[in-house]
Amino acid sequence: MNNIISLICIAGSHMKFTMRRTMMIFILLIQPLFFVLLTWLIYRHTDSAGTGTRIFIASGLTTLWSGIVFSSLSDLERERSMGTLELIFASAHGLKGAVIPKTAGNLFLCVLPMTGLWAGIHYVLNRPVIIYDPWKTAISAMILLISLFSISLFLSCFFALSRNSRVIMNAFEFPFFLISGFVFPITVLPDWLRILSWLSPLTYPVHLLRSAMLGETVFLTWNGLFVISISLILLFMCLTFFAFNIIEKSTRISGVFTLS
Amino acid sequence: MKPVIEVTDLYREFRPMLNLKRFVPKTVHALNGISFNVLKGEIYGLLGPNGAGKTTTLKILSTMLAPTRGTAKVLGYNTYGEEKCIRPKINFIFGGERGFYWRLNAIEILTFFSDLYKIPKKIQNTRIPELLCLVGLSEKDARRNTETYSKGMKQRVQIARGLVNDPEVIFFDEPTLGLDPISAKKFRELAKKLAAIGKTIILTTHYMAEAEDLCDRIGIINKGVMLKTGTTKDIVQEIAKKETLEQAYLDIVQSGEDFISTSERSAT
Repeated sequence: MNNIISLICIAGSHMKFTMRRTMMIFILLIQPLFFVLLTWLIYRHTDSAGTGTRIFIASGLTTLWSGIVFSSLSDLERERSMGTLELIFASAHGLKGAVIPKTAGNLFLCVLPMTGLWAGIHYVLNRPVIIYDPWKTAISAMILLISLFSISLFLSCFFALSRNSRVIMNAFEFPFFLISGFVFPITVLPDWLRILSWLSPLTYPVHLLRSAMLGETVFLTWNGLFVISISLILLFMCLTFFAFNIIEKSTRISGVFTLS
Repeated sequence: MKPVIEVTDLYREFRPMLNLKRFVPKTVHALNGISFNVLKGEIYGLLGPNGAGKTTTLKILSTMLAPTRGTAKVLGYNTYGEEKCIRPKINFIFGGERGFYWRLNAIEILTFFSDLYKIPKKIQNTRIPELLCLVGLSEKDARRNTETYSKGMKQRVQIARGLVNDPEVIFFDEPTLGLDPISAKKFRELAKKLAAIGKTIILTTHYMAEAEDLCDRIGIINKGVMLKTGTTKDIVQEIAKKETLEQAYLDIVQSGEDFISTSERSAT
């Protein structure tokens, strides 16, 4: 119990620290506006009832993913250069104390702009965000957040090993917008690119949410996507558990935290 | 008395990552079989020139690094494999301005690190003000962002951070680096106080007067080799036959350098 309480408190401190960074203010306040503008420009000539929802899904998902990738993953590099990563690593919580609360805290922060996005699209752009099935949407949103948490937790473990996190981070950010169906369903992609979409673990929870909010079945039913998304969460949680133990050892052997 | 720290035939190699400029990475031998013990309540000084292997030794002992060969035990536990038993009972303090969250204030930093050591809130509420008082930081200063602090104030926060878990063993890596003489003196008084209440301290420093004043025993290392270890008095008077630790240190390091160079030449 003490473990969980202390991890929650660490997440609180991380959020406090993150909120004082100018970059994070940009990610949470300015960047969502750009994403809304971009998706509005794409959808502005579409007159269907679901346009507002599509703009919300696209801008919301890109904001979430971008925020998580930039905050959780680049934070590790920042911690390394500040010399705090090795101190956290050698504390009673170990590597988990650095990665789990950081990822959870940043995910929580990245969810906050969603209300502003919804209000902006609904009232400023005058495109109502209509939800097809509210219950399924609530479940899908929860699954999507847990999926993002488990995937970014897994990625963070490997980012802890690399001294070139920033380069890899950029490689992770934009391609996923395209191949995972953040802005369009993956059915609009050419066949050869769709292979990458099937391989992306984000494709399934993203389409689960699209399916619940828009009521459209793109390549699998909501139930099918639900089963795959839950399976992926379990898979990534298991992989992360093993990765933590392997990485705790390998970082101490390679000295990657202590060398600059 | 059973030693709190036991280092036996410790080796550590660093293999730089492969890159396009250097196809065959050169292995750096940071430690070449050093051995020493530290007893409870003792202040042990690890002295040596830059790159001697002092910080590497401390990082192995504080579970940040794995040894390549040999054993390092702290409080009877192996630092590699039994680190979970050691981590709650030790802490590491380094000099300079690293290891900080610049946009947090001192209280927030101490709270954050207390959480990392799973210290219950009830204990934190009493310990953090005590630590701030111990290192001489006022409540007002403790609520200012650390980026506005002087070097001495930052070092005081570092020391307080290193004591949040009330560690039994403390590793100080050049703790007075860049500190003014008054702050350095205050640090020495604090280190003596900690040793007097039974804390075991390993200290690395380049200031010989500081080592002479603080350390019960010292070990002089160079190029990962332990050249001499013993009480400060023994090293100065009996081993080096000099008057001050500085003279003894220079003599031992120089003769050690010649010995290591000869050994390296004969090995190749």
